[in-house]
Amino acid sequence: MIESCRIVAGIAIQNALEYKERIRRHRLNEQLLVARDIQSDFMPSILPWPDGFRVAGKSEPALYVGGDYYDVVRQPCGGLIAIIADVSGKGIQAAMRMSAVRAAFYSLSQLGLGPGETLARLNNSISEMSRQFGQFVTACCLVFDAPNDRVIMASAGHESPLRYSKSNGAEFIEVEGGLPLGLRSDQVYEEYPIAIGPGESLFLYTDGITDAMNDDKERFGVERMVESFEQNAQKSAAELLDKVFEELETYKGDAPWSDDLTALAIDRGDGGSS
Amino acid sequence: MEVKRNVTDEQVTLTITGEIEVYSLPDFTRLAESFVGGPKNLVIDMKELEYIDSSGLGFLVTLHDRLERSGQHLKLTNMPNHVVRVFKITRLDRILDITVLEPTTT
Repeated sequence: MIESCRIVAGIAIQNALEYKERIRRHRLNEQLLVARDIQSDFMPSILPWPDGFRVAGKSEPALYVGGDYYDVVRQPCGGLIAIIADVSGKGIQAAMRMSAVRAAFYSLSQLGLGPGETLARLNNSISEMSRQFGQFVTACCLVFDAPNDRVIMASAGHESPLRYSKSNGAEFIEVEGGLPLGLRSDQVYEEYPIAIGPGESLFLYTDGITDAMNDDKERFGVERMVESFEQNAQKSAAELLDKVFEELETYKGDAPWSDDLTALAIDRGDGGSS
Repeated sequence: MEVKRNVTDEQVTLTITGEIEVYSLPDFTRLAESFVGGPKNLVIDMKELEYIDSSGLGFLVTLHDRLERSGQHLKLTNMPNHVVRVFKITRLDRILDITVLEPTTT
């Protein structure tokens, strides 16, 4: 009789513990969903277009939340400044740092600085926090210059952008960028003009695109990305991104995203004002 | 990820096979950091490294800084070209001591 009571009590305690754990997981999941919604609001739903350019961005976190970020913000002078950034790591830790990067970028965008100085100040604003956790941020920042058929870009250890022109097809634009943000204070980020005339386009991306894996654990890779960009580069920036992300979805199949993935596309349309 | 270690008074060599990425990083972090304050040189042999993600890169920079502060040196050796590409894109080749894997002669 006593033994039976012990067994019943044991089962009851076990059930109570499991119930408590389920409640805890449910609450955690709810919090992650809230975090996902908040972060999704961080990404701009409509990007402003600078005169003579069309711009589109797209982002998918690998987990509920991620460390990628893109934006286009109007400066006090009326011009626009764009950024694409990738915080090292994944999940909550990367997402928290991404929020700090976004806040700092918004503040800096109102100072009317060029992309190089913007990255330099962004670097100093996050360096101290980043060093503590071994985190860094790669980023490309650019401003638009339609009258001269170009953008002015600076890079902090970020993937080289792709450019499409009818004469050369797709090609990587190699620039001598600086260190990723957050690793060393007081860095200088050189600015480079990148020609983008009528009928041409630019594609900036995070490494989650090339690192996306399929069910066989094979990565999407640089070659597939270049091919996808080249095949769709003459579409509008928004259509180009839709096509690239569709191909990524098809490629990965049922596999989860292995990393956050983000892209920013810029095209000139017919070269006139948008 | 598999790690083989060879420890002498002057040098620790960690030979890595597989991937350094966010999920395998904690074990590797514990192992590598256990040598901070130890032998003068910490060598990470990357000949068999297939992939390193941004968490892995961030850890190597942190490890490098910690070792330098305690008078030690981190060296990344036999780095295959596909891994070198990642260090060049991120410009971490400017901070870290890297030697590239020599192509085998036939």
